[in-house]
Amino acid sequence: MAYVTNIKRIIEETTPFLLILTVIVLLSGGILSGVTEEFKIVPGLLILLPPLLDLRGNIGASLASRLSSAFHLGYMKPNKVTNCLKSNVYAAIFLSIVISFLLGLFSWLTCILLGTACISITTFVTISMITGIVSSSILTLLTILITQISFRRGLDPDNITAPSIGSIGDIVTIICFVLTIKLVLVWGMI
Amino acid sequence: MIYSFNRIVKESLPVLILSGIITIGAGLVLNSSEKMITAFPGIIIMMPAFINMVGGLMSVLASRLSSALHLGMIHPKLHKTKTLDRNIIAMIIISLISFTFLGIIGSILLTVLGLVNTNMVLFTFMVLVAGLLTTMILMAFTIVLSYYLFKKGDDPDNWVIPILTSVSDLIGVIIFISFVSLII
Repeated sequence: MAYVTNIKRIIEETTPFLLILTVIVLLSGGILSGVTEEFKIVPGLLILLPPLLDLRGNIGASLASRLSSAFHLGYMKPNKVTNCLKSNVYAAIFLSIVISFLLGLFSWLTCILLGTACISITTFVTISMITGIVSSSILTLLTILITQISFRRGLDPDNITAPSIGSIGDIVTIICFVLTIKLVLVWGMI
Repeated sequence: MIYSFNRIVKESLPVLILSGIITIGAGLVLNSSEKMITAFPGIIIMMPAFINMVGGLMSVLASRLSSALHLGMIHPKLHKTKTLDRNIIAMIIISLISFTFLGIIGSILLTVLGLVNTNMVLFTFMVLVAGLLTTMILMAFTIVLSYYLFKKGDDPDNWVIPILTSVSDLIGVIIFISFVSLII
């Protein structure tokens, strides 16, 4: 496909998708507003929100884009567990464990250094890791599913998987974040 | 075989850590406005959509720029070229449409949820101005970063998007929060 320099075409191809994504993400914002009370009770919690949302995008979208390239290159076949699929999945899960641990740790350190009121390091790391690992696992499964389906239907997974995983990722991450906060409160960790 | 576990982890980890640190900055800004957020839950409803939209726009621009650089349609020098101009104009028009849409849908949602009785025109205008301002700042950043990486001989595709989405989270949160505090 040639590089599109026609302004009208860039707009036509980009805008509809952005607008649909916006509605989806607005709805997940609605879910978030269900825990504003918790943000008041639990200081420091909001720090984790942008990094966790970012994490799914970076791990999920790059997994999606690697899987689509692997399909094109023939390293992967629909309905087959190949070594390539295994190493991609293991790497995505491993990265989300390491990064969500580091996010919890760094957020806590930042709070301490700046003297902001915050919860204990255990609670920070627990919330970050449960949210990160649960949402990444769900998203990894969804990514494989979407890639397989689009490839079987003869669609280019590149055009579908990475962008849709971005906004599905926002919703899944926000739901996991909200549920984890409730869970941690029930456990009495705070 | 390019997809080995070690290689994926080794190449992803530095970018992921760097973007984690940048977005913790966005988190800090959000956290320091916690009182405003608990008083006006509408902010937290709009926030993910706002930063998602900025991030989406910038990823489109970044990936278009790196394709144009690879194809030799743009040279990494800061002067006017037709391709760059057209990309910039397209981005500005798309953000005009998208942020107006976000403002209208957002104010309908907030009214339906009974959270705030926003003045729809004022609210939409606020979202639009905040969105355009964020887009302008980040466009300049995207162009400079892509040019710099391309000149250095790195493939902008690998670095620009993850870093850019994190930086747009940070700038997006700062600008959005400051605009909201202006109107309430």
